[in-house]
Amino acid sequence: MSPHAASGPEATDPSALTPLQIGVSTMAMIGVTAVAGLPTLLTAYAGQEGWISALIAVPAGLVPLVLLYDLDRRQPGLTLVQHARRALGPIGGLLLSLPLLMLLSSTTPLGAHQQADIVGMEALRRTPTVVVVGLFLLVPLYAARQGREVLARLTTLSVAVAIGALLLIGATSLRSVRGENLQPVFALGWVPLLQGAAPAAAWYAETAVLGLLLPFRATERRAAWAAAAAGLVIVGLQVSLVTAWDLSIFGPLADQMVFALFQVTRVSNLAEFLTHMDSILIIAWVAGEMARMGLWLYCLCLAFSQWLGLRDYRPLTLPVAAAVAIGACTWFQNASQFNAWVMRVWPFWGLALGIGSPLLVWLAVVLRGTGAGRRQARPAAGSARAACAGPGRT
Amino acid sequence: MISARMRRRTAALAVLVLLSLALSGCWDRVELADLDLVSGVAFDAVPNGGFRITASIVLPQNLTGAGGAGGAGGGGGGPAEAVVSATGATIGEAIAALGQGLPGHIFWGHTRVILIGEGLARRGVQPVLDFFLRSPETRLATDLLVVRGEAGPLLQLSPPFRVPGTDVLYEHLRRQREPRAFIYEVAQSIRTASGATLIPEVHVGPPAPGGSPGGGGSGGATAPPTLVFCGTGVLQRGRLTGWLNETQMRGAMWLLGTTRRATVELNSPRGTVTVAVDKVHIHRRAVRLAGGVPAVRIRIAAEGMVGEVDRGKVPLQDPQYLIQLSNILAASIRGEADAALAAARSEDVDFLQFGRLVAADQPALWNPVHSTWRQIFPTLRVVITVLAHVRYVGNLVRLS
Repeated sequence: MSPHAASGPEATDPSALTPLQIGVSTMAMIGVTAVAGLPTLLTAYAGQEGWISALIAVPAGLVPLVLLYDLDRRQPGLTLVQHARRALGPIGGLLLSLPLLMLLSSTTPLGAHQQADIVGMEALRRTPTVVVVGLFLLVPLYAARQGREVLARLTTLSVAVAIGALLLIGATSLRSVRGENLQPVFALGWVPLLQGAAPAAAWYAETAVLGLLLPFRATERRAAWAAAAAGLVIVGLQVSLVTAWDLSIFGPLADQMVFALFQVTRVSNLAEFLTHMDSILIIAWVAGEMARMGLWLYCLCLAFSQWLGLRDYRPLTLPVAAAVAIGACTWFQNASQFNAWVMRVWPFWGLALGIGSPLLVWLAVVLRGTGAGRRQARPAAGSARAACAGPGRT
Repeated sequence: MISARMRRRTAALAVLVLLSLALSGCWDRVELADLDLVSGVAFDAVPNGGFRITASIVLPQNLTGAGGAGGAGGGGGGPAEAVVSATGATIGEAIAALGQGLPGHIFWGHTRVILIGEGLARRGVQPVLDFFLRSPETRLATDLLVVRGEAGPLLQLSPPFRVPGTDVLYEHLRRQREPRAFIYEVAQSIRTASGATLIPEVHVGPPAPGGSPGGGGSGGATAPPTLVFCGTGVLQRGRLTGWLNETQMRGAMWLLGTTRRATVELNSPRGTVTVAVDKVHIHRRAVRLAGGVPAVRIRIAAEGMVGEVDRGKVPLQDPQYLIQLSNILAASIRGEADAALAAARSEDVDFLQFGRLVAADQPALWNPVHSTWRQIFPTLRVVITVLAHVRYVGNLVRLS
């Protein structure tokens, strides 16, 4: 029986992801860093129209989802790495999975570096980066080892906290909002809008990583993918709203403000009584980052284990977390180097790998014709379930 | 043998213990008692291009019996704030020098007002803005004021009612609401099309006639000097270029659309009446005239109530008189607006943000003219329409 059948014993599998869990996982995986990092990039390229760029980039995140949907329709229940191995065999599959592994291997330490930058600059300036990164990886490491059920519960809780904090900060900074800072609209032409949309598109195209989570759905395919798409659209709206909020408060200064959302907390206040809202945002940020990092770490370990043909991903969690910590601490020497990389390299890197990884696998599956005749085929050894067996189920 | 469940519980406990280590704040732990809370700070220029910083430090142990500022003592609990000062070639150097004389860590997160002396304002406020924008401690919605003359001595005043000077400044700004200039707004103005903004002005006035000695605790018989808020400074690209008097400042508030309420004294033929304007709608729009020339239209709608009859026997029961009073109110607002516009044109500084308005409303017109805006601005056509209504007379028609 397929491990992902909507009925039967597997339907009660506690580690199978419900549509709500898929939606919030999508929001956590993409949204947490996007909301923190994208507004400054969007306004740097598209000025007062940056919030529009955030919206027009959303289809870039839908492309990997459509490809993953078709792959799952052809061969249900396989992760992207398993699809690659199934299409081109062990050696060809290794090569075909490389773009996804490159995306995971670069984005996970990149996210860890960004969170260390934010916390290191806004809150813990004297604490060594390696300590900040290490502390931030403890809970994700534990959650990733525990498996999808723990991750999904952590994510649901964290996303609720993060959204609550965002709403609170929005409400308390409302008095500083000046609508005229968003004017004029559609005055810059398409080029700045598209330039601004490029980094956002690269961020949204991280939905390719859902190719390692969506096969473990608890419900029918359509509901699971609809939840992922809804999560992506909510992220797009969030980024757009935060960018517009940032612009309407800081106007022409917005593109110079590092981590714009944190700067918004510096003008927010509740009746001139509760003024230091930055601690609220730090709580939300830490909660969101724990969930995000846990999901990315899990996907990275799972992808590597399936790539190497291991039966269990868990032995990889500790060494991979250590590698992520080393990468996060050593990749960039300073904040400007990180910003330059994100502005100049990331749009191409993220977009190429985000869309390229599922596209290449999909092309291989379609050209090899491995879908139609094997729709009911059981996953091979090292399959999603085998490699993802949680504690007590190995 | 240890069961799997037991192992999980042990692992969870270990994680919790490890996480509790992070709650201490790591290397950034600072005890509250070790913080020197700055409630207000003044920046002045020194002749060699450096800075003098004067900071008002809260003395929490004396807050229950708050006395005067400036370390002058007073009140049962001693002074509520101590004022310290230091100089340096850069702001960072001056702050480091300031810190040497303080027992704890200087904390800027509770700074409520930043005063800038006239000399430094004329040299440029960018270094001050840069410092506060860059520091994660400071609130960006902290008020900036410009002081005629030196700013530092103002923090050392002991105003009446035994409250610290920074409290007087902050409460005044909070109540008055406009004009108010926050750090991020002044920084923003440097990057706008017009590059200009207004910043509230304060200076030290003579002692109030008949005033009683303040809270300085000095025991002297003379009344303390007063803080005078009138007018604003005009900043162009972060540099003080001139001043607006009170009439011009009020006119600028009308033209900028930031006035929410006002109290206007009107001299009518039958007497002097004070009108409280409490409903204001201001609409600013840039339009395109024939020939592709930009112009600005401002429509001010104000509605108020008679707040006080000061002199004369005014027939408030006469509907025609209220209409006449409304016309006088409109003329008064118009006069203030014209005064502000004339000041902007004579100083050649677009503090009324017309450039920003044209850029927002008429971007196609703005693109070709933005580089020559300073030449266009003095001759820009500005159409001001004022509609004023004195609608109510209050709860009293006539006293005598």
